[in-house]
Amino acid sequence: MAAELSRANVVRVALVGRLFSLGSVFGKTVRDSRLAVVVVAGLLSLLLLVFGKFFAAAYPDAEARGQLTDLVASLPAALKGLTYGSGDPVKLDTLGGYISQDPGLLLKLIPGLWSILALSVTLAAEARRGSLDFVAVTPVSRRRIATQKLTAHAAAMTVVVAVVAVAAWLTGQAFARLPGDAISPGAAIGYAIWLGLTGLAAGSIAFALAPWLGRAAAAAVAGAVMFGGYIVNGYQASFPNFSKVANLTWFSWTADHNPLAGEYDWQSLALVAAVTVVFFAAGVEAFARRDLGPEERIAVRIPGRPDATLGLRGPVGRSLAEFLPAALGWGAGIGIYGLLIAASSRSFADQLGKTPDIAAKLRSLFPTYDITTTGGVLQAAFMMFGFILACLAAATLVRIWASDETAGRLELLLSSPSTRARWAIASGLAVYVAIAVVTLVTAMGIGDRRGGRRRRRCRPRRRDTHPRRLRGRPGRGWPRRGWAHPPSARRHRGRRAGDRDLPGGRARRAAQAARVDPPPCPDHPPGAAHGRNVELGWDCGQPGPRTRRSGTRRLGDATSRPFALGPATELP
Amino acid sequence: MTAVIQTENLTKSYGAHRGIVEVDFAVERGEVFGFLGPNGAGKTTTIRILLDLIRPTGGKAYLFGVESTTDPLAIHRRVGYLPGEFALYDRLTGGQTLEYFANLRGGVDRAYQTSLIQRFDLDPSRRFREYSKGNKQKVGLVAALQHRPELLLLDEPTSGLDPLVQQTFFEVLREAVGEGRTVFVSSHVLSEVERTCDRVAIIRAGRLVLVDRIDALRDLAAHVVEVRFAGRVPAAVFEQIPGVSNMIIEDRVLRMHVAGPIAPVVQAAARYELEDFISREPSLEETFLAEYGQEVVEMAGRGR
Repeated sequence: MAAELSRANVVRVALVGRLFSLGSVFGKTVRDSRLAVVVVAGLLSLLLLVFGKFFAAAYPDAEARGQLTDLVASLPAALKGLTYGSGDPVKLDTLGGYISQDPGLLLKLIPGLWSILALSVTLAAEARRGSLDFVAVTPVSRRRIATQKLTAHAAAMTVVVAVVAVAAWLTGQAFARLPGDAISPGAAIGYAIWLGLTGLAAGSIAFALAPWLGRAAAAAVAGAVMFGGYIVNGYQASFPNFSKVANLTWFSWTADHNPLAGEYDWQSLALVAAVTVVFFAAGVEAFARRDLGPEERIAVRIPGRPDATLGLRGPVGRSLAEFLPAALGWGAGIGIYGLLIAASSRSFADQLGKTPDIAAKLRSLFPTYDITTTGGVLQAAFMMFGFILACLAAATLVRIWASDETAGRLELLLSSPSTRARWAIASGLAVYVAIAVVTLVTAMGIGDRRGGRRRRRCRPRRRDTHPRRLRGRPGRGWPRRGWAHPPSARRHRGRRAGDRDLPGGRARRAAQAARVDPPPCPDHPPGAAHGRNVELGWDCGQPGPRTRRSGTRRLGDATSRPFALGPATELP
Repeated sequence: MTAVIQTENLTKSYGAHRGIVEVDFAVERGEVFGFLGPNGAGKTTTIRILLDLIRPTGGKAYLFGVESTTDPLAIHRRVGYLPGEFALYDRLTGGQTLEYFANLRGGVDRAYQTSLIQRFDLDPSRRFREYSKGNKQKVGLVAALQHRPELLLLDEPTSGLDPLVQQTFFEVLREAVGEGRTVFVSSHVLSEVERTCDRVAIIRAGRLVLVDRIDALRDLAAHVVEVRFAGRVPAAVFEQIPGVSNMIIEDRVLRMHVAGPIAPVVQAAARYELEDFISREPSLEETFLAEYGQEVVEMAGRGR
């Protein structure tokens, strides 16, 4: 009787509550995703508008766009693949084509990163804190819990897709300059759907693996699949062996779907959607069948760390031991990214030298460093994406730093006979060491590639370019006998690009005055950059002096002839 | 009476780690059943199997006659559960948290929910992360109780509660039992179980040691007697008294366990000059450990 009376007082859950509040697992997940939706949608929309504005400003007429197309067409396959994906970019001379190629990769990868982070954590976080036990003993089946979590994320992604579609259309409205620039609503929607679906595909892998591997490992694997898939797809033109693997990536499947460039391939999106659903179903089923709990997962046997690396002697070591795995992981990841960029950046710089107008525009876009140098290209690549990776790495380290307090062990630590200041300084010091580890491992990744290329670079024969040899012989061809770098040249290391015309204007002017037809070089195919090397009296094939700086190469600027062409290209 | 909970050879192993081994017990409708054991004995594992949060390696569990793995939803509709360790949503207030779990059950009686909040003296307007440990426990208790479940599964429910709130909690339990509902309480504090439970099961090292009425357990209790003599301890006199065991002599102090009537010990001691005489009834926990501890440890050792 009491139960019957109480049922009469039960307030039913409103539909709005079920959809966007605490009325259901779906509603709560949507509610929890509000901030992420605003951030992701805002970021993507902002990027679209920025890319549109840049394109309209940098390439306002057909001539400028022709140069851009020529530049990209002349890029080496590896760099083109890494920057634009497999195949040649489509309609790069239109606003929509330029945006859809997304040279910074941000638009292509941000939705995937978000999905990976959201779907790897959505159930694991609840399991870890214990709230999942409360949810799982309600009359909502595990399959429904997982499905509602998924559909909520899909709904959030749908909102992002809608906002991106509007932003893409607005970009077309605001920045169209030439016929063909307009972006139709259909094209904008097609593009946004592609972004959303590929993002969900990446997240579905994390979701499927999370019950088995745990949150962090699942996110790492899904991230590796996404980044690796993009890279393999981009490099398949250079390495045909990659094709088999590339054909398994959604980047390859949807290569012909470029709605902003007027190309549609809806079947490929259907395939992506189907695979995503399969991964989702696998994740739901795994969640329904496995034991629940923070540690209930199939344990992957990882060898234990040596005691010496656990930092049990004091706060600095202990904090550092907490940071070390993340620092090494992020360092390796960013280093590999840098390595791939560095591998292609020299070719890019060479090609950029052929298009002075574009080089000048890029120089205005990146005024603090010389985009026409290898190091400059690397720096620009990091401006586009490497910095985001670095920020994510920093966020990871800060989260670990804060975990003393959030995990509740800080009070225990502070109850030991140490001052708060000591703990703060010790853990802060460990953060800096961890950052140093990230930097070191990253530098190793990039530096390794540098070292590998050094032996094959063009370099000047020092003796031939000494000002003393050049002086008094203008117009009579290149001098042939030796000189050594003056000490003053070494002192110039590390200065800004504008100051690095070593060993000074005399040599440059002499080199310009002494211009002669270049002899053929047996080591390299004819090309503007190499021709210029020969023109300046440089030869090929042997290690060059380490004092040379890449910043001296201003290939796009006819008035600033380079003196040292970077065999020992170094980061700015 | 109908068994609300019935287990048959319930076993769970975590690879190299022990879980529970062939646990058998039954809980009848309308009773308060205590599930006792030291930390790590397998109490939480047993409860999580009953709720199908984890799956047994062997054996079966039935709740309301339904096998736990075949139709867990049918069980969950009739169950309220308080985990031993939990944290809820930091950004939600206590009230929002309770509303969420009420909604997942299709709504609850708001008046009853409000009365529970008031009785437990919970401020529902504060965010969960701002609560003290005891207040977090109160949120969990209300979430487990607010839908008036037929069966309450409570894993160490008084953890973090102050004595006043503990009193309220036991009142609520008595009311629930008065309405014909069943309570299954796990605890490692015997005094808590003594106060509330009709029957008790004791688990140690993953094996069920004893299932009996609480009164029967009390019969096992032996007095602990400590006598301080003015002179030398007459140990031989006390050794001959029936029921005396575990004699320990330290200087002029004699300690012993006395099973059965204590009068012969008092009479024997009265013949000597005494400085002090202390007799106390041991807790059930001490009794349990003295009676079953070693045996079970040896049993577990043979099982490996």
